Amino acid sequence: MVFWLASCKETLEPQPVDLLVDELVLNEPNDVEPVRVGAYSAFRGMASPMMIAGDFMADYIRHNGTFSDYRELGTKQVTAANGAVGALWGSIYRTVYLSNFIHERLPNIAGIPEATRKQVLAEAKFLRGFAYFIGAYTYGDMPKVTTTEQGTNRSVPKSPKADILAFALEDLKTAEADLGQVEAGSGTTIANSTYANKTTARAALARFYLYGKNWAEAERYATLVIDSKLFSLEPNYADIVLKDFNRESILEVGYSLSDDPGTGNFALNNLLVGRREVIPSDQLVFSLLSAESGTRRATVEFSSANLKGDDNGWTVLKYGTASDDNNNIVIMRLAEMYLIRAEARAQLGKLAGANGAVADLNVLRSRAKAANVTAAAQADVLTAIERERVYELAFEGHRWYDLVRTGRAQAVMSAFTPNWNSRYERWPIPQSEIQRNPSLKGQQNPGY
Amino acid sequence: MRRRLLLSCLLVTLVWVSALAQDRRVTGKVTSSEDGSALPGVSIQLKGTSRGTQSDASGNYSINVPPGGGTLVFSFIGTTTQEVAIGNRSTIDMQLANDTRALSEVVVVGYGTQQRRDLTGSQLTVKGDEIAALPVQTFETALQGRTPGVQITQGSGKLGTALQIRVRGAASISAGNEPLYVLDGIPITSQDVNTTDTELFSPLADIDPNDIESIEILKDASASAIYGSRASNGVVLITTKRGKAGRTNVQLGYYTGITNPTRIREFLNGPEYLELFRESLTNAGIDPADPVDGFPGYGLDPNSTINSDWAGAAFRQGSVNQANFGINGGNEKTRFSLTGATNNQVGFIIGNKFNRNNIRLNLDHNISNKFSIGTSIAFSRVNNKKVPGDNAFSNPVQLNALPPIQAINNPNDPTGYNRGTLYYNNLVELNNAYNYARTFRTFGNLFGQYQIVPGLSFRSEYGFDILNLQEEIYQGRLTEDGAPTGYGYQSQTRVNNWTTNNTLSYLKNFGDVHSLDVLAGITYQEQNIQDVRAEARNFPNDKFQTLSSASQKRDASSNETGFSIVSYLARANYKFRDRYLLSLTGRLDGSSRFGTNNRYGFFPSASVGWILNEEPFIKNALPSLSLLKLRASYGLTGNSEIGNFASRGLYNAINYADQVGIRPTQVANSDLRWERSTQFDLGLEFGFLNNRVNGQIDVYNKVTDDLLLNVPQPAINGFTTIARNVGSLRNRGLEFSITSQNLVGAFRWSTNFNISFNRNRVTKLNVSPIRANSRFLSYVTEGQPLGVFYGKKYVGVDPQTGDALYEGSDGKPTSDYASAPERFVGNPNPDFTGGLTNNFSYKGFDLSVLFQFVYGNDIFNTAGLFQSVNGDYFDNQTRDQLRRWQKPGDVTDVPRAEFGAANGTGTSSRWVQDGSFLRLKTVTLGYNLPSRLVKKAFIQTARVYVSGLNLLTFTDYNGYDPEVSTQYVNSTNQQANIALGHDFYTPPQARTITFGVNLGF
Repeated sequence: MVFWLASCKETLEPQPVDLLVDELVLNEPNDVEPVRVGAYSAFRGMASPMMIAGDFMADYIRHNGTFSDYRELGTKQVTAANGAVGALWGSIYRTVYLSNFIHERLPNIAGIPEATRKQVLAEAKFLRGFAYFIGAYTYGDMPKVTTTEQGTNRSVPKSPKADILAFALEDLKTAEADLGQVEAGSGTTIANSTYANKTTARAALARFYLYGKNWAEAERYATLVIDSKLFSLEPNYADIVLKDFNRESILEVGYSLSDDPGTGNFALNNLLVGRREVIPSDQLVFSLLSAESGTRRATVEFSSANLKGDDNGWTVLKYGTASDDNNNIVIMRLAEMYLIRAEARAQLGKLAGANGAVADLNVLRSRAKAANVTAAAQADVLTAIERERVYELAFEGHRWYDLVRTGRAQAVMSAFTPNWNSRYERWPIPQSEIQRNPSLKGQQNPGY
Repeated sequence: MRRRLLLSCLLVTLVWVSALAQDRRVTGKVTSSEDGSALPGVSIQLKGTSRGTQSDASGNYSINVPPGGGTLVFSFIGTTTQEVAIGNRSTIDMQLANDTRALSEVVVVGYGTQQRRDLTGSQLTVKGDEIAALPVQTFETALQGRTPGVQITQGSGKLGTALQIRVRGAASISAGNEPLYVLDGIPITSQDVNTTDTELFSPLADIDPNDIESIEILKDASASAIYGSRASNGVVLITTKRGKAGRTNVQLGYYTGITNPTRIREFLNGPEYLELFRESLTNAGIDPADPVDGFPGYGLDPNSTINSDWAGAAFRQGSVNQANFGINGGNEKTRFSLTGATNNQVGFIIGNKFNRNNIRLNLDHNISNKFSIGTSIAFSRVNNKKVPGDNAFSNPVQLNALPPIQAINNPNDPTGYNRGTLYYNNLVELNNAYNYARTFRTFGNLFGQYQIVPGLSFRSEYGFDILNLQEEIYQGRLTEDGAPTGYGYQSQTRVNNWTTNNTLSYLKNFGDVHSLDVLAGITYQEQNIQDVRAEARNFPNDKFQTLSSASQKRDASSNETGFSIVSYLARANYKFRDRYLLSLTGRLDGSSRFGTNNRYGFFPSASVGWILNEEPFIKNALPSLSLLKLRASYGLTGNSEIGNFASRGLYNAINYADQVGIRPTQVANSDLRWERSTQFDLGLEFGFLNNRVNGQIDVYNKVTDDLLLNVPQPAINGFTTIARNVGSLRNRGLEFSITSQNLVGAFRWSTNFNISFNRNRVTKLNVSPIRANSRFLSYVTEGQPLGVFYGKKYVGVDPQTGDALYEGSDGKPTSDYASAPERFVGNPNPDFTGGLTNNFSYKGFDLSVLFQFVYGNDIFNTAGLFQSVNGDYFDNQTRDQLRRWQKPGDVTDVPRAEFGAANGTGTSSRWVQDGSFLRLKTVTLGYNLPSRLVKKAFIQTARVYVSGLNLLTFTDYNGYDPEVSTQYVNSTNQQANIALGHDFYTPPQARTITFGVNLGF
């Protein structure tokens, strides 16, 4: 019995079998790969609410269902209690948590090849940088969380948007420096667009600088990505709509039959096809069907069977069911790089010629089997770019961010709905966060 | 060979008979010591032999005894047992006194026994005899109506279903609320581990009620705190029958009977259905014959003359059959009890069956007069053919939603049933699907006890409980879930519990003044649960049903979990001058479930008692007072049913597009610990006229703090909730019971009455109010009882328009459902519960009648959303919907029928009803055959009886049965704790009538 009592401490700490406890995770080299996958899985959680923010906040959709979250988004009456607002916030900080976790644990584990350690740490930085970048442009000022320590995190105050962006930039820059270079022709299409590499970080930086109006850097990074030749344009736009892991996908989050979101609240296929909770707005359909749009009309499809009540019968096709080939969500793809470079060059006054904005636009036009851009004046080229982004990137989560950063939101959205108000250029801080985080008391974004 | 055996039997019998002839005869008369009346039917036994007789109608008896005499044992129900040496006497008259066992009886307490008179805690005893012959699957059912302070609810009439047992109210919101069950000193698995549905089945059904000697329910802290962190919900101690020295008794029992639903709700018949729905469609501007929007659009024939009784199709007359045996005997050195039974029940719900086979051997042996050992081994196998959960279209009760104008059968269909019905005609499943839960259960324990010096002894116990559950589902290709190629599911679950208890006890009297009884011990328990399961589709045909035959295997998984708990316990009972009692107990529990910062918890209790009738001034003033005891207790207990790894930071394997990853799923809380109940109890026990009238009153206040709740935290932590100990709730109440021997003598009549009041209130929640399910009214909020009904208040029908009306925010009726605020509209917790038992006996006859009552609770019929909505959709409606509003000026409570208009269909108090009931729970009429008659067949005793269960129910509830609690939303402990008093296509209780016979050899 003496032995038995002495071993009490041990018997009272049995190890769970299917679950792992804190002290057992990420303490040996074999854990690195699954924890890395776990980080991407957390990042995947951001993808769908990011699309919802970028597209549903803008003039792309009409509410056609019964869920109040989507009624708010469709009629532009978003509240701080909106589920999507909370979901994006939550998944941003889940991603940040995983990244912080890797940064706290990984450096201390012995026996990991230095290259692996560097790569995984850089990937974690990339995911955190991207998360904060999206967060800052969605919510404005927000808490900067840099540790997994629960006590510290219980009450983190807002940091200014500029600080968050600076932090994100630092992460993305570090990622760019430390991530491995994948040469064109090496690696698989799937691996190259699933895990971050140096070019992925550069694509993110191109977008980062575009949003920050640093045209020169935006142009430089977009060019680096395009010239890397790691990704190439799909000749047929319908493949962008209907296929996962196509050749131009730079970063894509994956689902399979066994982990498809199904009928979850933020499952894009369920919202756009299954429930038809939202349908494409009439004006978007007109845009996509225009001659300029060309083959990009494949983004939407009409069926008279859907013509019930106010339904216009159109469906967005970019997100399939679990058994379709297009149930992934693309975060970045090569066409966006051409558009970023075009916009940066147009802003810099480089309009015509082989290195001009119009040439980049025409790359996409010709792929879409549409007529070339004829605009010549800077303002006209910029307008053409705005339209081109609609044709090319509809329902890939860009529109609202584009309208806000170009200062066009007020004009475009007021024309779309009388409910528009400039407060909708930012999302509110989720109501539950204001209630639970004492440092956010009274810190709701203006107007909400 | 056979002939020779028979011959030798005859020879033995002849020898025995001739031996008898040399004996002498003793005669006498047995009378009551109270009034001198003759006592018939008294058993008179020659001690240590198989010889015995019974007194006749005048109380006279005669028995042959050996020339050397011996000892006669007189025993009779309700009286003390008397032994008398025969000596040379040939006439022995005997006066038997009423049993005053409540005074001298020894009862089982935690880790020991104690004289009932000296108890300072509150505990409740139910004897095995009282419940043994009832046709129930699990013994808890038989306790209903007999247990003050313990509310026992059977959620439905499904066979083998788990009962909800609340000892002095529900003490938890998120953790377990069921008591700890201890079988012969060993804690056992009492919670269902099934992997197929949220419906809980009782692992206690593996225990044969016939094996039970007594059940003790420990209610207050003084009685239960010795079980420490697991005692907050009370403790149930089950003791099985052990062998007794003396002649070998052989008992055989058999009963058989029929079972039916207590009540079937009434639904519309064909013509009524057509009338209501024609009106409903017409009011909606739809032509009933319209091929798209009218009857034909839904596959219904507006001119149908069919009149099917779908509601009745869910039920049949079931049967119960049980045969059991018991052999009991031994000598001073070795004693044994061997029992076994087979129980077969065919449920009154179609497709429901239950079968149990069990054996048990209890053995005791004295190695020396200081050293004794013993063991118990029991095996049981339970096969339960389950019926689907309440919320499944395959639930037979959901057949009541099918239109009566659709036929039940279709001779041209391969199933023989009409498969073109509005909803799934689940009768198809009778021959095309099954869901078996097969349990193999082993209980075993062994103990050794050694007396070190007189008064000081050491006892060591080791026990295990292995539960093996095998679940098998097959859904044929003609069923809804099995289409098109069949569906199969198999799982194996093993729950392995082992425990060791080691205690040292010391008993010493110091003169006549001080008496000391102390106990100290160490116990350790470990539980491990493993399961493996798999499912498959695509079988070649329905004759191949094992998963190996299927071409698509999917969802294979295995799980493992467990806990361990080490405890140090102590108790000291001190008695001064036989009337002042003091008891102190304490237990230190270390549990793997608690956070590292709170790994050990200490649970003390203290109690005092004062036996007033021993005081000379009371003894002299009130000589008829046989007992007057005042006791008070206060103590701390815990609830550790908080999940096995709730305190730990956990990671899950995750699937990222078929790659495997690891992600954190739960944040650690090293401070997490048990929920803590402090309970104060004040009790008064009394007895008059040598305890002919006795009873007790208890009042208690049980305050539970540190309730485990998932507290929201900012999402910036990476997690939105963390499990913390934050809430509080309170139960306070009063219990009263009284037993009276109204008549003694030849005609005996005794009465027991008990009543309990409990008031539950959540005093602190610290999180947002909790709702169990959006269709349910169940709610948890501060200042209200657990599960209070909260929702929109339905106030009737506008006589002008026929619109449903709700109470608006200004208190005035409104027809705008959306704007009506939510109100507290009911309470599923009863005001009081109790029972009344009357026992009569005369000559060989005995009659026992038990009424059970529950008063003041509300029931919400969630199915009303579909079946009592004035013909809003084609679900068949309850008959009360015929009184719908039809024209301006109609005053009614059922709104205008208008198809699809959602007039009064939203969740509201419209379906809340008073759930009070009075039930004739059991009636048993028995007759003991005269011994001179049965002796001719070499039988010692023979008893025949008829027994009825749930014969009559008086209630205002108009659903199936007022004792109801649907379990379909109970996917978590919290939901199960909150979702009280809801009915959702839940099958009613069984009304069972049995005929039985018991023989003793």
